[in-house]
Amino acid sequence: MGIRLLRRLPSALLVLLVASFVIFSILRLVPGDPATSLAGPDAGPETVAAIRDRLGLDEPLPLQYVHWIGGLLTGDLGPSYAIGGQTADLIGDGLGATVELTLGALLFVVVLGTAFGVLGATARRGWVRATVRVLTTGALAVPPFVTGVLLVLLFAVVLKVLPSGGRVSVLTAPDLGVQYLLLPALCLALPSAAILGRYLKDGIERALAEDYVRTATAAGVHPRRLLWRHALPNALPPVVTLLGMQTGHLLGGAVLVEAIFAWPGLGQLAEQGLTRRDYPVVQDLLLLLVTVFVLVQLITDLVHAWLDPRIRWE
Amino acid sequence: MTASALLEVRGLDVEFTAPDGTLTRAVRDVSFTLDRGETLAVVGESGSGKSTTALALLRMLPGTGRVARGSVLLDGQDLAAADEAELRRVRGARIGMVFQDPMTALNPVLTAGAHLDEVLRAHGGRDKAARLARAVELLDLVGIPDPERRLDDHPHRFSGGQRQRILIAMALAGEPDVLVADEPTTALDATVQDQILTLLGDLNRRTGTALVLITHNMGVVARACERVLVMYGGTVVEDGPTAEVLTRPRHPYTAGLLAAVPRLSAPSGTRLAGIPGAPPDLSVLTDGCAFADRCAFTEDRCRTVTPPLVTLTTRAASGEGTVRVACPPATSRSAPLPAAPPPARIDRPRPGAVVLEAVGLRKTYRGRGLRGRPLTALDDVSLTLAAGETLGIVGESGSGKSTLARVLAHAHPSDSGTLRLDGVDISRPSRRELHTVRRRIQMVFQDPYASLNPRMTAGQIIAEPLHAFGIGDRSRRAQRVEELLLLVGLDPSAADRRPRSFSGGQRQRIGIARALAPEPSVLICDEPVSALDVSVQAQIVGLLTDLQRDLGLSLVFIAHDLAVVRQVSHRIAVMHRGRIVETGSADEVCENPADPYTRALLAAAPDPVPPARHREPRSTQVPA
Amino acid sequence: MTAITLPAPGKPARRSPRHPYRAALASARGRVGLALVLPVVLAGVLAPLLAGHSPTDQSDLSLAAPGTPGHLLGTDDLGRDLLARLVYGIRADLGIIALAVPLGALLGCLFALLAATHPAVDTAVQRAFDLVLAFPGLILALAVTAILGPGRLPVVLVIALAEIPAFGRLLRTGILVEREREYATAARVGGASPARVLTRHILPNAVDPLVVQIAVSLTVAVFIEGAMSFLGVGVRPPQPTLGAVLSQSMPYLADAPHFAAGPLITVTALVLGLSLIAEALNREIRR
Repeated sequence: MGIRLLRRLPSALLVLLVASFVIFSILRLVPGDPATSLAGPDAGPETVAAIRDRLGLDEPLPLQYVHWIGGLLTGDLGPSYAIGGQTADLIGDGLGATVELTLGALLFVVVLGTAFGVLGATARRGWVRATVRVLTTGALAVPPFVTGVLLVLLFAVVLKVLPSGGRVSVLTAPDLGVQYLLLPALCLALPSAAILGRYLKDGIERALAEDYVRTATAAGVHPRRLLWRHALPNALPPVVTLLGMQTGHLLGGAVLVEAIFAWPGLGQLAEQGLTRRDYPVVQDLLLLLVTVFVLVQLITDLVHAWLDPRIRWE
Repeated sequence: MTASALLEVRGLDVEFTAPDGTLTRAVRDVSFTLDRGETLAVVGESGSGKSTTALALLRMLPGTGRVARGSVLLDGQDLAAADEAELRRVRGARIGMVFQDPMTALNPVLTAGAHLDEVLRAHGGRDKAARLARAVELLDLVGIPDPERRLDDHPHRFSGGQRQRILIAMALAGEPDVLVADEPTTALDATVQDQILTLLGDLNRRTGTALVLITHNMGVVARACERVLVMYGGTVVEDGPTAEVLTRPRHPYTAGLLAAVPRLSAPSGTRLAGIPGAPPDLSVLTDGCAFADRCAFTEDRCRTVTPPLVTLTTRAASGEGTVRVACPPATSRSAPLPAAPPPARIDRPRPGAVVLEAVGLRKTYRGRGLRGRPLTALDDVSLTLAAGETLGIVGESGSGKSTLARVLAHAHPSDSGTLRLDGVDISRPSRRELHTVRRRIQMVFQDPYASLNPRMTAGQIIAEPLHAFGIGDRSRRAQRVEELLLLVGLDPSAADRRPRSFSGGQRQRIGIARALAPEPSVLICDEPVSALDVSVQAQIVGLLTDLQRDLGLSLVFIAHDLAVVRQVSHRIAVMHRGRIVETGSADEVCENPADPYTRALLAAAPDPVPPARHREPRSTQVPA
Repeated sequence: MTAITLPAPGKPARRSPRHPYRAALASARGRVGLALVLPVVLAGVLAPLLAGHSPTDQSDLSLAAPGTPGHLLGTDDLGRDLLARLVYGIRADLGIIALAVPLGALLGCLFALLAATHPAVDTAVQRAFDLVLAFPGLILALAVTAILGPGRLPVVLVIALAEIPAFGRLLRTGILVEREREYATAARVGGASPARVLTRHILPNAVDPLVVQIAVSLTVAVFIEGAMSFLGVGVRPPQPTLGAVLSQSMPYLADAPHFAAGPLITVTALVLGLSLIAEALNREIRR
């Protein structure tokens, strides 16, 4: 397992390196000078020059890049340009909110996805399977902004049982926090849960049709055990890979869901940072997201190998 | 019908419903009995219903399959009417089952020990330690060396033969009265097949477990079973002692099948009679004998009345016995059918000068993954092929024979070595030279399903090389396609149909027509008949032999079945692990093999000749 | 020579002789899908005939209820006719999708063909796809808009960019799989040139999954357009799009739910219909 990790590490680092280049260059392509927008419309050229100097914008680009990466490696993210405060604090606050939302959604994805998958593949009654099929198609197709509006209409406007937006941290006030978390997490989770469910259903159906299940059936193994001990372990590895990819998608989707439910997370921060040309915030934020994505892939790969003995022994 | 029969199947009908509602009767009115400790072979070609019958015994039919009528009595208990819980108590405990492909029949994520443990658990083994001990015992019983250590290994760590042994151990774990083995050796090499058949025979003698062996291979029947049930079109056509049925067949189908089986003892140049036509389509089958359309003895009544199984008494040297036959013309004659005409020798011209020559060919495939070991497929292979000659290349899976075919046909390049065509070096041809070379060397592929583009019609497929080599204009090409179709024995109207609507044998004919289109002088045939049923195989082999004689082709005929290779080849090259270990005239190699590997291959090849009584079990070993 | 074996007569075809795409659209799923999608498309195409108002004309009649004379679906917070905004919103979405999806598909396929030329190129193209996929899609949308400014073009580009890896990977896999098929080898041995093997044997057999992907991509395009409107980086107001109208209705959900109803129902019908068509195609092709 350790060897496997070591073998994967170089390519993961390479992706991060390339991503940092791309992020840095893209931001420099954005039209407009942060110093000008920071100084305000009435500022004279010397004020702008002073700001440029303070922020190090006059340095050659390669040097700016080295400073940025150097700061990241030493843990010094520096101050934000425009939003105010330290970049690390801004990202820290946003990260807490986004992680909370993503983990909440991930929980929904796993629970709903497993339910969709197992019921869809093995439910005896036809109408149960049909219902699962319709729900999966719906959850997969309908975009989060539609489900978001529908959820708010139902739970906040009609039933008035859950708030329509905002956030209270689950850590400081668990019961209230969960109420605020439920709708956005569900809204974020539905498409991924549907994909996971569909994959799991296909995987289980395929595994149940395999020769080895026939072997076990002929040996008198109980159907319940056929499902959980023989078919499911074979259906899981691709689903784990998918779950890893979906975690990345959840992070991306969080940007939208945060906008719908006024959830003060990284998405909101990214939006602010981009419109106000706050390089440090946006750079660090994007690199952080890519890092999380790469890490998740890495973990996924290891779990996959652990689940599949054929790869484990390779 | 003894009262003490262990298993009695009466009037079994199995039906499948297609998505469009058509009903297919895959098994029709099958009845037979099995005594304790008996070994029974169920033999037939694809679509005969033999595997479906085996699966129906334990009600393990796939998809929409169901037992529509009839009963399966195991010591009086009707399994056809049993509920799921009752069936589970029978499956693995009273009837064990082994399936065809050991590569897919074991669960990749479970260890060998876990597989056995699952069966033992399912049948009430509560004590974990006892189950473990029993698992070791079982692995030992089926001949897995060092069983304690191997318990924790996953299936991919075992060879194909060892996996089949584990499956047999699983089937025997519940100490069943019957072991049903569905084509247990079809996916295995001949030498491994021989070992598995020996194991099954041993187990039958030692444990007294009755054996039902489903197979398409007459050699396996002769090798392993006392009694044989011949199936065709979903029905039993003949049932009797192996020695009797294989030497004095009464049903015309049995006789035809036996005449179509290539025999290792037959000298080179023997022509076998195939059975004309193709197996019946069960979804359109009506009353009457399913074999009537392909039978030489068909009478009017054969087409209107489904023939009943009639019991006859035989008086063979081995003693009195009974044979059941479903053929009114044969039973009313009350004597065995007139023997098929003895296999004819083919009149072949002598081979001429060397056309194709290979010297020191090598090919290595890069290993998979970072630490994958490279695989040497060809290791210093040299051969010559004369005009009008057939060179047979025989070897087991992984011997490199298919790679050799592809290198010779320039489908893959070799790593090193020289290829000469009429003395001209063609090992590293330019694109222009390659074009000329390909016109001279064509190839026929193993899998008649995969080698035809599903989106093109037969006519387009055959015209493809004509187009590529710029032969003729549109109307000339259409005419040539027609000629080629006739040449390979197909109706010219077949040109407009897509591969999907042809049978396996017909598709192989299309593949041959395509290869012949640019009028090549060398034809490389890579296992051209191994995907086909025996009766069809004989047709295709006959076609290739005729084409060679009439067109003066040089043929490289690659196969794993030594008997077929001997029959068609002038000379034989035996391949093992990427090397040619022996070359010689076909008869010489088969009669007086020089290499130990050739000897092992010959010893392992099952011949459809019933063994003499109480014969010593043969042991074969592959030299490492 | 040998006896002529006639092809078995009257063997029933296992599969309907119709083209699989047509069969897919004729299936139950396909019909429901079409029934959901076609009216929406029609409404968009015929928008100028159906609207009766300009979608951007404001009036004093703010948040009028549906059924108000002259305003069948009511008006929005600025007194604009909701029917006009809906049908012109559909029209705007259709325009974006019709440009973006073919663009993404075309570029994706070009990259796949490029990747098929050499293993080294293949690796490079694969890594480029990985990189695009490593950025969360909507972050990408924000970045592109930051560079180009909001408007139609960035929306089209973001959708196309998101579709490139999807089509590219699909076609690449298809080519790699079909290239190793025995009939492709047979064609090469039969003397066919690499170009002919590609166009006649490989591509026709690799194209089916792409057709399914087009249906899927259309739903993704609807999603991206909407999401960008919600994030405030979509088509510039006051131009209506489905996403823009829906996002403008958010503050009034409690008081004027009819404001959201039009786009809500339309988007749902559109994406559900497209998904059903994709499923129908997929089932028919996999047969």
